[in-house]
Amino acid sequence: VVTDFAEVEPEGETESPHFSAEDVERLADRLGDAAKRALDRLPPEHRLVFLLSTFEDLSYKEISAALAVPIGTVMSRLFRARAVLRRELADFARQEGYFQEKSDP
Amino acid sequence: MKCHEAKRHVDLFMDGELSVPENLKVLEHLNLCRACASAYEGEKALRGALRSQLGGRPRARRPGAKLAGSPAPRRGWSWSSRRRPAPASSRRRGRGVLPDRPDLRPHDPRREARGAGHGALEDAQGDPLGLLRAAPRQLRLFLRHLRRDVTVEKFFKRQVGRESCSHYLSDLGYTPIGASVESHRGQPVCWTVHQDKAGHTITHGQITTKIAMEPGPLLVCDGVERPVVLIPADSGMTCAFVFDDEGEAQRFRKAKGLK
Repeated sequence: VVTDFAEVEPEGETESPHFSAEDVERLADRLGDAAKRALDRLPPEHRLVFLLSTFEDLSYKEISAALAVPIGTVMSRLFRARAVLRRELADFARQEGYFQEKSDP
Repeated sequence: MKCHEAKRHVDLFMDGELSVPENLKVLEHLNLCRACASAYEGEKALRGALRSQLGGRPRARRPGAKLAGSPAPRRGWSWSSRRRPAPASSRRRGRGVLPDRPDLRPHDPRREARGAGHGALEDAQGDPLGLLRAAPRQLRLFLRHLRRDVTVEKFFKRQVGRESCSHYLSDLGYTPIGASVESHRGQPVCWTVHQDKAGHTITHGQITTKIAMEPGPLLVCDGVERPVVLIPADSGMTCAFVFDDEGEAQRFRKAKGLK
């Protein structure tokens, strides 16, 4: 149980862009094309891990077994894929004028 | 857990890859930190939008969807003494078989100025289990997550069902619908709530056998005592199953070959 609430106070700006739920809702119809373009630019091994995790709901262990790579590799590929995707989608959203870089209060 | 740790864990959390203690820590942080909760909501929305936009396989129907047609809300739960009332000082400290459901947060004028609740949480689709109003914030947050994504499903599937006696319930047709983390004598206890198709609920938690054997409080809901079945587990722990009524408790005992 957290009793020291200083522990959970925001700690400055976030390092990577993140969307608010409202941004996503406004952009939802157009995110697909931007996401496809971003996915196309990913290295194939990163894209495959991302797709297996996101659309096939496979666990890291299952992906690791399916691709015969260590779980750590699965995690790093997935995290890099997501980071690239977030960055590309944030760029797209900025161009559309919907997305503003947010900093924690 | 601090914000930077929560941010590092949130992808693993959403993927259902954290251990139970880590999962609970992230949940606790999200419950307390608006900035991280907002980032989490955004990430969740983004994943949902990508899935629908990129033509992902439709997800299995979320358990939360079942809640829409559930019975009218109950007023709330309380834990109280059946055989002998605990001293007021003990009740304040949460002593007894099952703890009170206190607001564990220290006094925070800023929070009070913002209002008592989460807004959207209080506006959640009804209160089908009768838990939201009286439940601690952790449970309310958990139930909200449950309605909107599969994080909780994955959590239950990969962690809770395997590591506790909750698997007793799946073959009786119960599915997990929520969870709450309570502090009891300084130790976190994870209570999980399961529901069958008829809307009957079972609340399950692991407590120490010593506490389970003490005479004292049982669960009371709206002034009605709740039947409890205790099953010893490993390492000095006992599983407590709390039922809506005695009929359900008997069905459970019969199905499991218990006296």
